[in-house]
Amino acid sequence: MALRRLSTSSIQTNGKSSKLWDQTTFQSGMFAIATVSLTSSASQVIFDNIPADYTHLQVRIVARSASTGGSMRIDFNSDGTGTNYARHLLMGDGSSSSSTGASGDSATAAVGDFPVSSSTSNTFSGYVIDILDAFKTNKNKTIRSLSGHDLNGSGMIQLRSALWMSQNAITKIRIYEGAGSNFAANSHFALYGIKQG
Amino acid sequence: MSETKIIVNCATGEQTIVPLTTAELAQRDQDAAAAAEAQAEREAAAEALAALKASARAKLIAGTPLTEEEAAVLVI
Repeated sequence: MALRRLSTSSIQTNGKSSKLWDQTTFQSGMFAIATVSLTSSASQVIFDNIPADYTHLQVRIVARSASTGGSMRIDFNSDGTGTNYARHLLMGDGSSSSSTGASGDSATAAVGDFPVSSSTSNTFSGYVIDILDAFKTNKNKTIRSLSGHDLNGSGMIQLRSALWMSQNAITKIRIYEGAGSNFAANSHFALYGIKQG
Repeated sequence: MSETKIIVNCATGEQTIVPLTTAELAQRDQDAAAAAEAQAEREAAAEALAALKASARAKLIAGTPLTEEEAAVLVI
């Protein structure tokens, strides 16, 4: 809460005031909401009951697959079976580049690829995923994902965007692998909230 | 393979490890089958394209006529 204090001079001049920080409330910035570090493999990570105290959300992930599938997927508010997501992709692997996209045909948002169990050992993919205007109830939700990994001789970088065609405020984020695989131990998932003053 | 999910209650910070439900396990199986099918299609398409290119190159070197498909993979 911002405090407003009138000074003697402001009372005298009938118009001056100064805004003071209460030293408790943070008006804007990035705030850690929750973190999950896997000590053993797991199929899904779910952030539930996300407080609507923020303007945007950001998910940061370091991940590796425990088996053959390595496609990172995200869905919101348990909406994971319809066709409410669209996706777009730009990627490069050091020797070639490609792009693709699809609209209205996906039950989840595909946000990037990550190393599988047969990849170079101890390699993980890093993600920064922004979920914009996550709590606005007058617009569909857009997602921007930057991810990549290096496999000591190969690798890739991907810039993806996705759309969730719902105007509901996001309360729940489910993260999982799209081909039925588990995340390997030492994968890491962190949710941040971004406040704009 | 552990068939579990980790649920974080962001309001309380509590983390719980929960087994996947029967429906979620069935969905995983469907996802795995669909991914395998898509992968097979991608590999088949890549192999077909490589074969087409090889055929086009060989005909070009030999001076024999190319098919429409072969010409398309060589000329942008």
